[in-house]
Amino acid sequence: MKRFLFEHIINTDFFYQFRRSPRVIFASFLILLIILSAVFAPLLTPHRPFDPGTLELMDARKPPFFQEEGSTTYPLGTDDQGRDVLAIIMYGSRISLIVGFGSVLLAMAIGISVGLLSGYTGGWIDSLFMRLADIQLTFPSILIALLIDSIARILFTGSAQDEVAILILILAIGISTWPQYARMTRSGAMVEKGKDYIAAARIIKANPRKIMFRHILPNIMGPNLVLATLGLAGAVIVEATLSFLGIGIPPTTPSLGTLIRIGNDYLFSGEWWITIFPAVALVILVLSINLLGDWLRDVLNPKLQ
Amino acid sequence: MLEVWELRKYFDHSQGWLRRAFSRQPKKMVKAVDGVSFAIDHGRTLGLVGESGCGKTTIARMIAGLYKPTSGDIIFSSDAEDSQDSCRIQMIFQDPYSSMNPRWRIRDIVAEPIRESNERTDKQALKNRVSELLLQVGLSPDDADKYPHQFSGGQRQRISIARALSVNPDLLVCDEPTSALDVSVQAQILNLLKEIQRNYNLTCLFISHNLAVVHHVSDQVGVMYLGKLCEITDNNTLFHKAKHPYTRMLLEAIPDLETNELDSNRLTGDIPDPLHPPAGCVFHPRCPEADSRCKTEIPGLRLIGNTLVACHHPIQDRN
Amino acid sequence: MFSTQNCNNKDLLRVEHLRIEYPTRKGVLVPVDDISFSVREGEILAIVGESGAGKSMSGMAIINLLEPPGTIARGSVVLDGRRIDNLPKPALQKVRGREIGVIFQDPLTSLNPLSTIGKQLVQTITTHTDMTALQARNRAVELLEEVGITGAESQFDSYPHEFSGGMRQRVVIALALCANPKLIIADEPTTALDVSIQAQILSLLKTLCREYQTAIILITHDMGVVRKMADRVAVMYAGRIVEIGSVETIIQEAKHPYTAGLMRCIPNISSSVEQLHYIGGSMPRLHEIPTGCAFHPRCSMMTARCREERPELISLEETHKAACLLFDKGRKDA
Repeated sequence: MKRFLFEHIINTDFFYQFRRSPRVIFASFLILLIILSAVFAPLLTPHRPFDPGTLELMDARKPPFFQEEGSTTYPLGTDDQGRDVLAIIMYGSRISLIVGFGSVLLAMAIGISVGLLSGYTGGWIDSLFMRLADIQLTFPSILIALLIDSIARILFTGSAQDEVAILILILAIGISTWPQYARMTRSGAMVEKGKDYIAAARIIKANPRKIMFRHILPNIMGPNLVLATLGLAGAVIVEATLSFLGIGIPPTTPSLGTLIRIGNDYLFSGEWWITIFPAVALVILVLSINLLGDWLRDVLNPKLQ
Repeated sequence: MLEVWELRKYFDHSQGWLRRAFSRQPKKMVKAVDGVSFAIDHGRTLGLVGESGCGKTTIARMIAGLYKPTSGDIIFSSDAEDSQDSCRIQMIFQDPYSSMNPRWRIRDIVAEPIRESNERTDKQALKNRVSELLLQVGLSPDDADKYPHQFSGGQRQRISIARALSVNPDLLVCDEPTSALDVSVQAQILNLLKEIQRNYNLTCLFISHNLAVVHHVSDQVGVMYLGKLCEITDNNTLFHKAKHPYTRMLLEAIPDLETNELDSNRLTGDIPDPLHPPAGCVFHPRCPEADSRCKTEIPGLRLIGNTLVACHHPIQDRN
Repeated sequence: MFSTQNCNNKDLLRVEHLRIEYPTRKGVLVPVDDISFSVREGEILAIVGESGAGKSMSGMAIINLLEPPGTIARGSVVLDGRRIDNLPKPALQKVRGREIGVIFQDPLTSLNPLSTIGKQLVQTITTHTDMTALQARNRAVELLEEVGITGAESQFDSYPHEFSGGMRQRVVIALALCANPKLIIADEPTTALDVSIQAQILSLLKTLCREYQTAIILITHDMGVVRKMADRVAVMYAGRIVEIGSVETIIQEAKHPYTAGLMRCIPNISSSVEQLHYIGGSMPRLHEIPTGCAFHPRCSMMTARCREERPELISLEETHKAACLLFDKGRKDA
């Protein structure tokens, strides 16, 4: 049964396109690598960088292994507290990815629901939601994320802030990006609404919610998945920006952005590896996601088939 | 079985209310259906023909419950015990490609009406019913697990028919069911529809722009033009002794296989813009028999022989 | 009648053994497989078939308007003694428009929505003839009047969306005729129009072409249209021509089982039957074309031979040919 499923997937058009594009295979490989190393970080790292007990302050500020004074125990060097840079990149990407996925899922949940309701119902509900979306779209998403973040900080003070930082960021980025999903879903819903199978469902007096979620939703997921992939990259960048500015993830459980910020202070004293390697990791992550997203968009575009 | 009385459907094509307030323009309405009345007897088929803009599709959708009439009545009486059941009317659509959800399996597509009308149906019974229906329309029970894109246009229409039959409807509305199909497949589907109608004793409303097809399936035929019913009578009379000038000219304009003369066509001009229909009889600008009365007075349906015709000067052949 | 008047006309267009191939990941598809036909000067040849038969593609191949990756793999297209299928692009563009005009099905997409019809006409005329702008303008107005657009002067500056479907198709006909081409390829020219408009457009097309002695290749699936317009008919099935002959012969005395079956399927206003005659099954998809005769799985007169041998077009009478092993006595086993 499983083998059958595997063969079935391999034989689809989708997989065929996948096989044909070397850059996509490469990009997917990179993403997979990053995700796996993030998920299994505790198992892969010889040290646990955020457990003060395992840190050796003596090993602080060691350069990467290919430079003098470096060693392969800490292949990419260490930071000011003796933490292995490679290990903190793995842990950091964990946080970045959690925030990324979380915010995309939240934005999709809000955006798709609004889009379906708006596109299918039409009328004043549609106008209302679309004006809300328009208003929100006039602000850059970073500013909106900033706004929500600041409000949350007022509500939570002190150490509580650190604990809920991830949630706050997911909320902030998620809320700032729902309009694009709403718009995409809405236009798809309006197209599907006019098709005869929806008319057939209306004739048998199917419940509108059922029509929206069981009939229309499966047919508009394609473009939304493309948006989601590119949105993931965007979310990671926004989170990195906010963290870099100091208002994102705190240094206790840093994300890649936070790491870049921390490392920034040591840039001019010569310990370049503390900031550069996390930055490179961020670039690779976002680039691979974007490549995948671009390819996905081309493949799912019915006009090009 | 089905009675339609002074049915009207107006669509609002005016500009937004704000703009209208400034430019002081009245509302622009398209009178898609403007006062149509007819009746279909139990177990019979009424064919509605007409060209684009005549309103036949709008009527079909009103009867199926997709549009709400602007005014007029649709009276539907059935012998069934529970007239509460909403699935007494089913519809077959023109486009075999958009009439089924491409992401659903055939099983779910055909069973959807059953699921909607009955809260509790066990899986096995449903499965059997679907198999039974697929066999009836000339497909195989194995097709239930497939997706729509694996079927041809004709096969998809069969699936649509199976879906429509799943709840034993009393009235079947067919909106150009074979217009998108090839001739040889069309013949198969028309035969199937006729057979189904006979077996289930269905009442049928058949919409088409193709007169030959309507001639083949209908007992009664109605001709529409720009929202109004011009003529309605039984099949034979319409095709051999039509009384309305439009019907006659339409019959002449059809390229048939008998003659190759093109000059016999007397129908000139274009169909008028539905936003600005002609005054009086809507057909008068293209009618060779039109006179001053036709330009001002809207003709009502009159009974001549066994034909209801809306014309001030209906063509009457001597016997 | 046409056939007696012009039977001495020479061949204007000759298509020989044309084969079109479409490489896909499922292999090479062959939508048109070895077709040959000819069109005489001033003649109207209809190519009929159901959807997927390859008739549109055959028409488009003549002027090399195939959508990539489709290509002409074999065969030749000869216009007035010159081969045109292997011409380089600039030479081909001279042929298109000046010698061969095209009318497509959808008038809305055939005309540029952003340009007035007058401008489009003038542009086409000046591209293909040596007229000056002023001469072209006058000619354009003349043409518009010829195709039945009243008040042509005032309509000159209108945009396509201001016209109805029938009027737009008239403009398209004017565009096709403006350089006085010898041949017009009309691909389903009236399918998108209402019946009453269709009759007018067909009448116009036939009159103008008789007047200018322009040949027409009419591609359609509607036999009624064929009856009204054509002199000769070629019936296509699964990329092959199965029968070709004069319009009366094909409609009344079709010999190929497919053609005969097709004629009987068509509902007729003047007769009433209980059940329509039909041909079981449907046209095979391009990657599932049967071996031997493409029609054999649906044919009531199939023999074992039909599964293996592909029939050639055999002359039954002077101008009537059919591709069926029933008539292939020469190769029949003793």
